[in-house]
Amino acid sequence: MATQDNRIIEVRNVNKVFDGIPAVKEVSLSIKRGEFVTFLGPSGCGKTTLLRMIAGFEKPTSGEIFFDGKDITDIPPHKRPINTVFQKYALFPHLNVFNNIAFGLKLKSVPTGEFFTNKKTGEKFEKMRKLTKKEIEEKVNYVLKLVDLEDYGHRNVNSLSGGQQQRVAIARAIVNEPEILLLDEPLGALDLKMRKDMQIELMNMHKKLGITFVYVTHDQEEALTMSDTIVVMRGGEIQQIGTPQKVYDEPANAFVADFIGESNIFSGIMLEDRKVLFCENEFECVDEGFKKNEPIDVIIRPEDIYILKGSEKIVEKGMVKAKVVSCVFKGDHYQTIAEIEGKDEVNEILIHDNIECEKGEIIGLHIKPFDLHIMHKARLINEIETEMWDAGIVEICGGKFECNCDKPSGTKVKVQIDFDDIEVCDDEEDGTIGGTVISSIYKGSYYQCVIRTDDYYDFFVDTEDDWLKGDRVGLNVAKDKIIISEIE
Amino acid sequence: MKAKISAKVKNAVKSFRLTRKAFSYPYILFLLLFVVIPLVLVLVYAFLDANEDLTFRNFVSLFTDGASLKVLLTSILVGIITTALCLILGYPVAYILSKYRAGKILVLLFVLPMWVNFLIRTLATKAIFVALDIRLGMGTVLFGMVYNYLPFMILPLYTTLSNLDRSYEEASMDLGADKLTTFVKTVLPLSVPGIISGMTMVFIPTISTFAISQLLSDYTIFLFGDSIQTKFSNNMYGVGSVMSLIMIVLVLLSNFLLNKFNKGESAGRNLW
Repeated sequence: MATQDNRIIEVRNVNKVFDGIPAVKEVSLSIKRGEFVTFLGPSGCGKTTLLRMIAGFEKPTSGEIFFDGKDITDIPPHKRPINTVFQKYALFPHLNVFNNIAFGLKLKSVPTGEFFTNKKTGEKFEKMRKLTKKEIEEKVNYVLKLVDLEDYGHRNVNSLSGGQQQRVAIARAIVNEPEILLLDEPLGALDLKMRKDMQIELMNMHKKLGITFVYVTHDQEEALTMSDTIVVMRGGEIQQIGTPQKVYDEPANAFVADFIGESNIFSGIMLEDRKVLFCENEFECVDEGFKKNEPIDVIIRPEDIYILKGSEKIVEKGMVKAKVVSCVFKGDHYQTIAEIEGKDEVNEILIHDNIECEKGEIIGLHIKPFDLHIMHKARLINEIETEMWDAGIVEICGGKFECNCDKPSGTKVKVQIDFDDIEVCDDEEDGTIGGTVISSIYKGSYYQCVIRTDDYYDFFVDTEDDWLKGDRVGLNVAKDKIIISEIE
Repeated sequence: MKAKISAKVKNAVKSFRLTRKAFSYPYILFLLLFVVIPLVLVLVYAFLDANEDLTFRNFVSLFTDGASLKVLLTSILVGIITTALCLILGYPVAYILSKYRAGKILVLLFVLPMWVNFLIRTLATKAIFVALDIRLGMGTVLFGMVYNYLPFMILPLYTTLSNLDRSYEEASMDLGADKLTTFVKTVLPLSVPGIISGMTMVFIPTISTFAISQLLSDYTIFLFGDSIQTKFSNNMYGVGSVMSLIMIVLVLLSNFLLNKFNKGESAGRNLW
């Protein structure tokens, strides 16, 4: 357990709103001293905004940030013992490498050990002094060595390669001996090979310096490789905080499972403790404490599925039979896509195994009970509280929908719409209301999209098609599919 | 016969291709007629006396004439003071405008007076001074110069400052610099290209301009541009040409010197 003293940063109920648009919503988290923490999420999830609030470049709309138990919410960035490595490095083009790194040192005041007393108030102050030229030179040369750029001090920063500029940016930050180093997608501009090398170098640096690293990335692989703790974010909210293993093996919800690594996500029903129904088959699992017949999401990592093939007898041993759709060699495994054919539905399943299969082959699948991850559904039905526009017409998120309700205008009502009763159309103009696709997750036989309307209501929609994230779409609902009940 | 001519025309049309080069011909012609030839004429006239004989008298008479040298000195002084004033007044304006999204529209307001003919503007300024009973002299000339050339300082400064990546300021604050230090150590040095452009745009026209000084000093202060005009209108083509040559040399010299300071990221890339 983390003790109170062990926390270097604590973020409490922080919100940030830009021009009425919420970027970070009610975020609370604490960061332990010496930890390597990664904020992970798709672009626009609020991870950079959160980092900028810790650095001091943005002020939270509400909530507090504590550093070492002290409230630093209103302290300007230059007074925080925190340094940042910027996304595009932000190296000063008018200074050479040496002077870029020495920038912070030249401004720094260090205690001299001598004290003087203010005669009026009697308060004791420690005398401060600037660093000497020699001290600065020693420190700069030390970090230049640390980032492997020993002979580059006199170079113009624009004459350096991307990777070298990156190192200078890191050197410029760590030379100030900050207690926390913030890194805002620092490897985003580098090519793959360079990125891999820098990942390892950053990890080594973290070990050597022993300071806290807070890292922002949208690259899940990077996050899994480097971090002690991952904070997964979406839409300004934290989805899960945990170690890389925990986030990977036990994702908190379908979004995390989909975002981190590849996974199979199915809708199912929890029949009773340790028994789950999905893909029209009953499976044994290890989860307990769900309500009887509660609709749930089941997540299975592709490498946790074992293929049984050969004679019919062996195939029969599998928990479920499936027909191979495709099989591709991926270097260290075969990626097989198979269809589980049921009476009413066909579910697609992704498998990583060492066995090669033929297209059209019938195989048996085996899944260990503890590899089935059962999760509460985020939402069972779309539910909106609104008002009647007129008899027979209800207002939903600014659009007027026909419905089977004759309550007069202004009646407060609750509207319920099932996920698969919402029709999505390509052209925003064709819909009664418009919205932006926030996410789209494949669930074996259909896609579950989250579509955010201009009123910031998130509709969950089940569709046959995969909608592109960030696209504008139109939404329609048939008259009979709108369930209305009056609010007393 | 007819066929032969038409074939010739056809050939000519065929060989004339509308390349990008072709579009520059009208301007090159214009440049030759109205810039290069006059410059050559100036050079020739500088070495001719009233009887059109070759002579160096024009140079001698100019450099031994105290009054002319004084005019030259005053012009340079007025140029330097005007440039300095424009920079001091223009920088804060450009800096503040670059911080706001509405800055673009406000910059337009600052530039708007440029669209009124400068003679009308200067005469109006003079009328105001006279109405306010302010004595016309060096002070009013400087005012007129600054008023006329301030937009030329603000515009390049605004362009540079508003294109400046905000992350430099953030990086500086992150490294422990307060707002003032950040300005002095990052914004100011990074806006040097804009400062250089602004200075060239103000200094060069100021030393060569005429009319402003005459009108706003009630013909008591003559600048170099004014005296060139006087020389030419009094048919002293020789001396006038020499003065024009000196002016060209001055302009080239100041341009060269200012560009010397303009090192770093955007060296050699002027904003105008």
